[in-house]
Amino acid sequence: MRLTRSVKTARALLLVAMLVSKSAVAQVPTTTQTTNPALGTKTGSIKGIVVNENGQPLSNTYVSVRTFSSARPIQWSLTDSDGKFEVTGLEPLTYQLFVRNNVYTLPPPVEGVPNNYHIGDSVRLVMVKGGVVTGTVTTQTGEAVVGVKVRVTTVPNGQIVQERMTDDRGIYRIYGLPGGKYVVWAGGGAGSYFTGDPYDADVPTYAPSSTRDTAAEITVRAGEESTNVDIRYRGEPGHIVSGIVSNPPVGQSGVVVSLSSSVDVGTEINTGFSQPEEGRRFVFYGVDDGEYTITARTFFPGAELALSTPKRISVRGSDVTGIELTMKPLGSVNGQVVLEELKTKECATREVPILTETLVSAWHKQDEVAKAQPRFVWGLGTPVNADAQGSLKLQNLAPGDYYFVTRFAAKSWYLQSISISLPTTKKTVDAARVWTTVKSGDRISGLKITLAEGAASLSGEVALAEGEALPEKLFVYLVPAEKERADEVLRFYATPVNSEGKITLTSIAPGRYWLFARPAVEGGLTKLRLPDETELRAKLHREAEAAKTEIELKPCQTVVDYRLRLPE
Amino acid sequence: MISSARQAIACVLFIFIAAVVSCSQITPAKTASVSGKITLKNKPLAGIVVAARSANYSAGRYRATTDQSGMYQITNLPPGTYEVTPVVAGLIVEDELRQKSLVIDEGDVIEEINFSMLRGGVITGKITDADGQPLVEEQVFIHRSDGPSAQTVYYRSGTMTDDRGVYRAFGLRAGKYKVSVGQSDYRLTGGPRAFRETFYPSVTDAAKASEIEVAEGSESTNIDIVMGRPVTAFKVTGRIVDGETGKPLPNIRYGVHRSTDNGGGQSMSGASSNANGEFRFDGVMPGKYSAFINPEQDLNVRAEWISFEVIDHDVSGLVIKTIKASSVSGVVVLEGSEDPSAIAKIGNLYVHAMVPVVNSQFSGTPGAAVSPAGNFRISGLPPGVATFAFGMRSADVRKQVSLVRVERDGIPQPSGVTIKEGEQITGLRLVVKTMTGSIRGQVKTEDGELPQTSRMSIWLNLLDENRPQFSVNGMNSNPQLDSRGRFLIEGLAAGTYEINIALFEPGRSDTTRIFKQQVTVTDNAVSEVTVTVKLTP
Repeated sequence: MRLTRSVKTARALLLVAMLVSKSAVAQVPTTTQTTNPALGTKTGSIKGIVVNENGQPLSNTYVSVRTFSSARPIQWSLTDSDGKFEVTGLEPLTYQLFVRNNVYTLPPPVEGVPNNYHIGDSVRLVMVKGGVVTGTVTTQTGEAVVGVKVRVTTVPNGQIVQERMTDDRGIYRIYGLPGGKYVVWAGGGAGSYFTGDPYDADVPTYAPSSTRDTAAEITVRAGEESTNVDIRYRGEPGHIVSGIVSNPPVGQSGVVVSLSSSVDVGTEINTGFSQPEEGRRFVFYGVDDGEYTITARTFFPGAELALSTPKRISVRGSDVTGIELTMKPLGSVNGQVVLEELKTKECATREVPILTETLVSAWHKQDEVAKAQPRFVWGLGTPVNADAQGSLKLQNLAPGDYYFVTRFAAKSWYLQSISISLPTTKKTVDAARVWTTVKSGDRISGLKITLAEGAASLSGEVALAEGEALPEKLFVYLVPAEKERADEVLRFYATPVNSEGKITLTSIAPGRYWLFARPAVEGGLTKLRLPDETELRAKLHREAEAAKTEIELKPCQTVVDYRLRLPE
Repeated sequence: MISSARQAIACVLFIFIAAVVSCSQITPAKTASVSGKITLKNKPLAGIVVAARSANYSAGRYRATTDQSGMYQITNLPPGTYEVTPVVAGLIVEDELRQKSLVIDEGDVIEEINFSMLRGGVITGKITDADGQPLVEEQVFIHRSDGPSAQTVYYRSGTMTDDRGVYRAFGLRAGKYKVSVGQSDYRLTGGPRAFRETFYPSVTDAAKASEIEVAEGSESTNIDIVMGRPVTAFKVTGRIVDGETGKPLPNIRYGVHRSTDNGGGQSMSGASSNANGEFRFDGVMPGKYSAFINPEQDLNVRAEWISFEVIDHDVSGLVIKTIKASSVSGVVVLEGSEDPSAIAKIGNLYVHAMVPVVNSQFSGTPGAAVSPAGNFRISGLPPGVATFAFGMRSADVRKQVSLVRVERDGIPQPSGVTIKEGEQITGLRLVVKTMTGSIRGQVKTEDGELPQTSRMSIWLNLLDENRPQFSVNGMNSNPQLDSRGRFLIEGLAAGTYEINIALFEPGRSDTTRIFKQQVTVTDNAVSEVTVTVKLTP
């Protein structure tokens, strides 16, 4: 006997599509990096040593090398029994290093000390023992919550740094945490897909038993243990937030939708996907009451992306549906690195900069408009290396005002100028002194970065009186002494004073400078050079003048063993 | 509270289908429900999440939480085959061999899917190295050494040591266990540390391992292991070069394979050659290996595997030479349809070519996406006889296709397409049909009751000599019989099938008997069938 009937409801079909899309999406970013044939054949290596705070070598530590524009490691290495590593066969680009060790962690980077490396560099990385947070998760009636995920988030950056499950006694233990402030929370995290974790659709409960607004901030110190960070689990189901993505770019399959917390200043707390076969709908489960920003973006690596205007929503005791996010293309800036050689033969070393080792990043103005954006938006426009001909393209820039930060490896060259010729006015402006405005879909070209030959360098130490201790976070600043250059932002230089009191400054434009030491300016050298910071520069100028230490640096001059006295 | 949330989810999902239809039109009759009770020592358990998972809803979208009387009810279930289980850490289902699957029809109201739970046992201890230092983030393996799931290894996140070297495995079924740390001989490469497999109490000989007796709710403490010195591992380096020009090839994905004695093997890949065309493997234990490459399709190159052995020092200077590979290209068409856009409607189709290679432990199955117009090109192929298979990025059973025949210049190639070294074959026609048929069935027993100890299993044969058997059913390659003797097999190509039911009865002279039933499957339809199992002595 055989009966026939229609197979399935349309609803079932739709659910299949929604669930499947996650795995489909996960496959997309695995594109391989392509080589630029124009790069030539020069390759090199970066080597170094990883030690702990006592200088003992750390073996079996994973060190990976990445460029600034891709999250994918180019090469990696494990440190040997002497803590040494070497990554070979690297193209001449600008790299960053990532280190992973089970027990040790890298301390947060010092502001103003760039974390970038070039081939030929020899690196010493000092890791410190991480801190521990431990406690028990219980229900309102005091029973252990078994197998719930506990996550630790940084304050104020809002990044999830670790995640562990409670054991049969409801105990969790999270270790290897860099020193800093954290909030700890249990449950939630379903995003747009249930993960199969029975607690994933609950609202998160923050230690001690609250929402994010009233969560306890826990201070973790390296090598120390914060115990009894207990959580009384709320166990309440969260709300649903859903909507549609409109005007998506053609030819790109998936759109990532991010739910960001307004409390954690734009931290992405959940992501979901919107796929063409689902009619570009998105949905989040397990959302707690609170203020959020929802933003959609395409995510194809290496491609030009589109971004929606962020929508602010407020969840208050019920679901929020019918949100519409409209995609708009991001902006881009094309530029060129130009070399200006010395006409005279006064320099002995004729170093030729490798253009591909020039890294340019677009630094967005941190005004109120910028702060309203989720934080990830500013990470879309990654720093880029120039190609062998010196051309570069800064893409995926969200609407905003930008300043261009340039880093390069050639020590006997200096950054002379940054200019941009805008098509609307047909005028060339000094992009080092004014912000460059980028709107949705803008295709700006004409950024010109000039590196000039004949830079001076200066090395030495800060002289201390007998028994005098080196102040913490001490920097040495170079401020232009010539009147007409008083506010030439590119003539301001800064370098950290290391633990032995030593300083090194390279790539300095020839000229007269005031030289003095003081505690680091918040925001580092980048902030010091920003168009808006005229006041800050004037202040440094006054301090420098008062310190009365002037130096004249001639083209190609190398000053060694310079002794700088600390101001009284 | 819970039920209102469920309702809300249902509404939102419904809006997805057609915004014009209001939520009130969801009628409960269309979807099914499953309910039951969860108990621990005959006492109801409240607040336990019960999830219904299927191949389509594996993440557990359908779930419910037990109330104060231990009752749960999962509603709004679309028809399908589900696995209904309580999702709870630390507790285990009492009946270890219980049939987990449940075939659910439209509108079914299934009750009494009850679970009697047990408290799991705990094994905890500390792992230290030869110097007494804790081993951090070391995987601890808990092996069951008795009962029906002997040899089962538990490695959940809970059995990883923490920063103090402490591990704690919980939710263990009563029985005997062995605990080990470190890697067996077949460890591949790349890990930071390499310790020899060591069992509690700190012995490397598995035969000398102590058994730990776990009882319901028991806690075995101080199951500590002190490891020996790490095994010396080595570095293997080499280059990938163009076989013709000798030029180094950067950005080529490479991997390593290690064969095991039982004919199997482990492969590891993912890294790419550096700018000098160099490759390297760190932390390689002594043993015999092969290095291989997975080049991008566009390059249309391949390379023979190169074998090497690591004995007691680093291996360097290996050279992998690429050679020009063969390719096949053509068009995928739907049987009986000359409309090329018919393929586009299926969407996200992948075609793979399989070329068995003599004297190679492993032959890859290069694949390529089929364009919306039905075109494909698969490159990187070795010479040999290629057969074809289809893959999907969608798990939707209604979007699977089955290969009917392969034509080369209009001539069917029933035993595959012969590819010569370096040959670029064009103009292939892969004729496919969609797999939209289903079989829904019920096993009926006659002349007696099924004994408690008996088990039944099901499989399917396609009664068509000319069609490759692997295309019988893409999605549901492992059909299941549920606790009520029901089954649902979806994603089938039209044709005549033979259903086989094996009845296993321990204690009988003929322990396994097989019952067969033929059924015809047509497109876009569900064929209903009853298989009768005669329990004559």
